[in-house]
Amino acid sequence: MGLNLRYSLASALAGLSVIAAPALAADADTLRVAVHADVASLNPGINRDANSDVVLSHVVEGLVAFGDDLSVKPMLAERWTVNDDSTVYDFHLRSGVAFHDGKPLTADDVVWNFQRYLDPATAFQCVGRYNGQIGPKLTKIEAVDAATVRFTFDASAPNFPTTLATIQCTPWIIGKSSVDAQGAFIKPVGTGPYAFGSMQPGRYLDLVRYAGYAALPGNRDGLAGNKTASIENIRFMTVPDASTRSNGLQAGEIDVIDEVEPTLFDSLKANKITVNIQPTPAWMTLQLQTEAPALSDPRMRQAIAHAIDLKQLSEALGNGLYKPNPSVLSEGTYYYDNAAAAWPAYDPQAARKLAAEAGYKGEAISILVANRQNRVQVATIVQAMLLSAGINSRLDVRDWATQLDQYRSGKYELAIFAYSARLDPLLSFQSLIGDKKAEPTRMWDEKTAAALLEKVEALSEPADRKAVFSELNAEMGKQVPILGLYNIPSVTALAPAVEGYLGWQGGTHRFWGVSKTAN
Amino acid sequence: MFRFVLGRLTMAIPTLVLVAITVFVLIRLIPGDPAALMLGDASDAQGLAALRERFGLDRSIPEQFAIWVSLLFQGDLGRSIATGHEVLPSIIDRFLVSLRIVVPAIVLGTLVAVPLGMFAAWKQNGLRDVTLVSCATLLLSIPTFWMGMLLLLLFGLHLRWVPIVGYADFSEDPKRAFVYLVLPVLTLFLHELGVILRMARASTLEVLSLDYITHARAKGLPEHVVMWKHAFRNAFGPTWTLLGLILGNLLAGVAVIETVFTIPGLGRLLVDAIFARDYPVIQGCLLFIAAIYILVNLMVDLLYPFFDPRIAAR
Repeated sequence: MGLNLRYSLASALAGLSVIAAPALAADADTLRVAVHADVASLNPGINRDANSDVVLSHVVEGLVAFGDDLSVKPMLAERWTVNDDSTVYDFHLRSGVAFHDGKPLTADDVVWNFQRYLDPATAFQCVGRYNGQIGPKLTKIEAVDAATVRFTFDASAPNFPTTLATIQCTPWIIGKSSVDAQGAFIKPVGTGPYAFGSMQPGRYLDLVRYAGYAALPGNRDGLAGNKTASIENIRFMTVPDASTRSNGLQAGEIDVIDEVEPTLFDSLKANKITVNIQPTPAWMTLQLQTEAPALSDPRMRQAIAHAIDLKQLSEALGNGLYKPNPSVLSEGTYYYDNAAAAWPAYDPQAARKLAAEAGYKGEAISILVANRQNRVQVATIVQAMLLSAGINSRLDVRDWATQLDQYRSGKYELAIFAYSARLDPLLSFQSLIGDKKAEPTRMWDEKTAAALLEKVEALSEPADRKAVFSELNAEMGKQVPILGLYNIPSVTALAPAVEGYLGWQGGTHRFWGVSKTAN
Repeated sequence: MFRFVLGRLTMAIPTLVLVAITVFVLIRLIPGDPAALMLGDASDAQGLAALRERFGLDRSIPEQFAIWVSLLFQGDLGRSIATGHEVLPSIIDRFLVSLRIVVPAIVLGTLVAVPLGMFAAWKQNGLRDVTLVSCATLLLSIPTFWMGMLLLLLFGLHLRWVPIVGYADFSEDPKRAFVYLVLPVLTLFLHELGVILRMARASTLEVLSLDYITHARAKGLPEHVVMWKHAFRNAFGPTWTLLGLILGNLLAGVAVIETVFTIPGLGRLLVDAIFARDYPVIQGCLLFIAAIYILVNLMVDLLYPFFDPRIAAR
């Protein structure tokens, strides 16, 4: 009886493993990428999130894109010209580019796309950057000829190419067959190296290599450059649980995972898993609400900056991977220029002195933080460092939606907040400087800052911009309306079979040029 | 019978109305804004206002409620704010997925735990009873997410018998669909085994202490006849009620198991919607869950007389 039972169990398990074999088998033609949630939307620029950006950057393209060096490079436009006062741009389209439905890209398509994005009914998330709400207004878009599109502004728009390249705000060019006769979006029909295949909500999203892709010559270069696809299919698998993602990678069922915690590095490397660490301008910060009575005195904000040892905090959290950086300008970029030196250095004694001068009497200051493990860790260390400099604080741990609500209303004192990567400092300064009454999310409501921002918005030469960015950084180091803690790297783990993956400063994944060896 | 069912269904209407109002109001009292969550850190006040207008979030709560209720009467639960998908088909799709985990786990759990519970009661305070009760308590004490992760590590990562990530529909590939369900069903089965076993044991012990069982034994009936013919039906009544509650509870969403095993079920849909403050999905899911509870408990009540004829007689 006992022997029979054991035999039956063994047979059942052996049978199960045979049935399971196809499910476990690796497919050399498909790259399986785990994402923590479904894409918010496949409609470019509408309801977007970080996952949408990654998926859509393989399917659709803009006129220009950021390169590896974070300068703006040609993509669908092979070149562009601008008049002297930066009010009229002519973009000349590449020849031989076709949409996934086989139709060639023309200037009319670009005009149609921009008209669609400017139409309030489309609900393009960055429409404000083109319709005059933020910066100059795009007044006219016309096809000069079949391959030339002219953009006319009501005022000087020297940063128009940068705005076009900004990942979160790119007006991606889609084919007209992406929408139905009533204009309702169906699916993205782009010009990218992959075409949209299918999607099963809660499970996966498939992209299929586009055989007719017109690649640029040369190497991969940010979201520009040569985007020739190597692997036939990409499957973005929705795997919400972090431990399931890393187990799936180690079991060979997933090829790529991201947002890998530093504590997992050793176990992953022991399993011959490659870990790609790419510095990015994504920025973990301590927001200081200048309107809050406890923090309205700049000396109190400087005291807080002096109290925090950024180097120790970064090492404790990131296993040496995180780069401490108080400044908007991130190290390794053209605009950096030792920006950290302009900020208050770690000095608890100076913190105590400044706090006393500001009239601080030991009252507890609130630190708002989202209930995500890594954020709470940051907040806990910040709290301990403040305490060692004589500044009392309490943690207010809320869910992300609640924190975002308070961020939008400006109702907080201190907050741990991560900004997604802005690939040009102007974009970061624009999101930080402004009138808090009109826009409570702005951190720095101050005349000098506003004037410097206005000045740099009118510049296009990198050297000129660098000088003003340095001025802004120095002024920010005195006022401390926000304190950078560290730049967040993009950490990606890759199965041993994956070859050719390259990270870049933009932090978004690029799977063109990536291949797999058969297991 | 018909009047009983009709009566119960009529009684369900005020419950559902109350649930609808409560859910609608409460979810809007919680801080957080679906439009703000969509825009994240890269937006401005005007962009936010435009998005809120697009989703009707700028209207007053009574106005939003009136729109939702008018759609509800047309059998339309609206569209998800986050994805734009229709809510009702999404809920039904996800519910059918949850059903594939919950029903096998409960059926298996019942088939194994009820006889074991009765056996433990029969051998009360003996070594086998203590062993079974200890195992049941242990299984009951282990959180499902932890058990699921341990099973994944053992059978998925180390032994490689079953896949760790993914889900397949039976209509796509029955073999793969089966394989993907093995561990989630096993996890749920092991957890519910403990609950059902303890209930079956307790109710059997109560029945075994009654006079009619003593009388049956005194008549010289064999023990298996006493247990199955006389004790089982009466002892199973309370367990049956518990099964109804468990089933309703699990069908409402086994979010933790669905998250660990990447199963696109109803629980995950609801949890994702709560984090995204996706009001139409939250409202739709909770209303649907309330309806499932009512239906499952109605079914339990209708089947109860089969185990305890005294109920039918009343």
